[in-house]
Amino acid sequence: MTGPAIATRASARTFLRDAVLAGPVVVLLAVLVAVPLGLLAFRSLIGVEGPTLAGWDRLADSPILLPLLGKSLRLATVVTVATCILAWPAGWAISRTASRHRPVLLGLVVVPYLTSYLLLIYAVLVLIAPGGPMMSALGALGLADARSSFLYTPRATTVMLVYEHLPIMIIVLAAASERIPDRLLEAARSLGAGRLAVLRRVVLPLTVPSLAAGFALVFVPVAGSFVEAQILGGPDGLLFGNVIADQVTRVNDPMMAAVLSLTLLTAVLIVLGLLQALRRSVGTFVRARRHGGPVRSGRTRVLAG
Amino acid sequence: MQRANRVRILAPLAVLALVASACGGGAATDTPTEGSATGPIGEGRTLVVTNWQDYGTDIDWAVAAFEEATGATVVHQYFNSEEELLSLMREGGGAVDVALPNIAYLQQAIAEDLVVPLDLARLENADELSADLLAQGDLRSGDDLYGVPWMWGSTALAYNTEAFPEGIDSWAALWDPANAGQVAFFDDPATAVMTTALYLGQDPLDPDLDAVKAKLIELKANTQLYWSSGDDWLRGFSTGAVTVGNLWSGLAGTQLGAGDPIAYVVPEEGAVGWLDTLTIVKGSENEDLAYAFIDWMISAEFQERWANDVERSSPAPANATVHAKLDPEVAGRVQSDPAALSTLALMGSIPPETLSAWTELWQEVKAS
Repeated sequence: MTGPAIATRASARTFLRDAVLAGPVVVLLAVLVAVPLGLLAFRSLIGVEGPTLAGWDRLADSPILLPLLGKSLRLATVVTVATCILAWPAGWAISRTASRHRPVLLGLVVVPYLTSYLLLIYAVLVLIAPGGPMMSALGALGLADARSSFLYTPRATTVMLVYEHLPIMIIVLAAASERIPDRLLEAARSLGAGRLAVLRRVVLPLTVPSLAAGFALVFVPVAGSFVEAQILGGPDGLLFGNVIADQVTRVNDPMMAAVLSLTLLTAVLIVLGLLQALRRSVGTFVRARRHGGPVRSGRTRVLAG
Repeated sequence: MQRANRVRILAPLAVLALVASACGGGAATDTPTEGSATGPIGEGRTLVVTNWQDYGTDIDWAVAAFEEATGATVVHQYFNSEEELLSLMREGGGAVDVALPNIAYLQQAIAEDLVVPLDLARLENADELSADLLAQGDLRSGDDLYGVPWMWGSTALAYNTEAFPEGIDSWAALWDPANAGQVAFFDDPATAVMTTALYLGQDPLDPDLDAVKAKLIELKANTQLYWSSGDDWLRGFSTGAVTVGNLWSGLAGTQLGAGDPIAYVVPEEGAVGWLDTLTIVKGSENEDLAYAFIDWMISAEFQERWANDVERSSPAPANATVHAKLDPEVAGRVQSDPAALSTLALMGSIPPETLSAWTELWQEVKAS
């Protein structure tokens, strides 16, 4: 038996094994993602009287739809960035506690995530209502009028969405921080890096991939959110997601719902694509800096090793 | 549509109510009634009724009284949306005998040939039905009547009596700059357009949309909350964040029953209303039983007893004789005063393209 023949048979076997292992997922993805997406695209072109581009025309002509999409994407960006900023220290702190305490802390973080979001929304509503616990406390401190509140304003929606998505971001970042061994930090410190330098040149680069994953996990649902805005957002709270929901629950216009859903999907994918590109270029930049610096190159090589 | 919204939101509560009523037992033993058919015409037969769950037709004592009077068995098929009801009706007689569509969906059922014309002479209690309701055009096609009025309600003006000790009786209160930041308005395109049209003195079903839109944008400056579920309203009202707005009669009744400082009026300009109807599904093999059931459902006895049932709290009865028999407190709770009917603009069948235009208008108002 010749070498290449064995290699071919081996690769055929590998292929078979991969096919068997990946097969169910491929089939599931095809059925649960590709087919619905195809249907969505198809439905966006079918009006009451047959095939039409009317839905897409309406999207282009509408004075409100695209601005609303922009509003939703801006909100999603603000919420996601805020979540990152708040979750990063928390995740880091959790990852640095004794490992027997970690499950408890993570469990506490997860509790709101496992609670129905409607319950969370109403809890926040009660909390921030005029005369409610938060406003009363602020009123007692003389910081605000207890009878006023930012409830029923878009700010309430933003706060709610941040609160709702903090747990998933903390979990992602805690897991990422956990993977950075203490000796790496010690090594950096012993080689002369200050606290800030360790943070900037060791911790941050190593958590960036998870940060990106967390970004996507929060950005996507927030961009399509609508219930929070409906309950807390007040008269100026309307979001793109509300318009999609209205097409389904009120006007029964599946064509327009499909058009708007595809628009949102495309917009979100573009944002995530840009983020990916940004991450890559930042990564290249960081690597270039590492290897470019004449004095620090030795140090980084130690770290990388 | 309004009902669909409400029920979707109240569904979890309905489950709780069901559990509660199961625990409470309930007064199931009662004598058969004059309103139902005489003699056991339905011995060994089954009548299938389709309705929202926990909505009158399936009250234990009501079913028991009918079964005892007719010997028939009543079975319920529940639906969760009017669309689901239509598809149940499409299965035809045999699957369902009596169906209870909202008047907004009746014309579609008639157009699809799902319901049969009704003979009022076969309903002993038909004379007692509100003439205003019976005169609604959407109950008919040509001269034939297809739906019998059963329960109705309105979406009218509600206000906190502590904030408005003098009382108000005009929609103008919502637009009054003095009430800025205190208004709650129902987040529903049809209600918004029709209510504003009434305020402007226009035809609620065919208003000048530009004028309506301008007026609604003006209202936005006063609005604190666009409420979309009863819970939204209750929270806004109980925290004092809102003091005036438009509200479902049913929820106003519940609040009145609970002793909240609320008043509910159909203002001088009129208000939007809804009506649920009883129909017989085409192909039913139990027409006689179906007539007997409808007759029982519209009887003063059934509608009065349901109105008095604190836990189940009915909407306003279509039987016009009930109001006078009710305790004033109960009449206030179920908002049964038929006088309100003359100024009510019933939400009939709104063509899809109209609803679509109204929805777009409403979204533009909210996005403005």
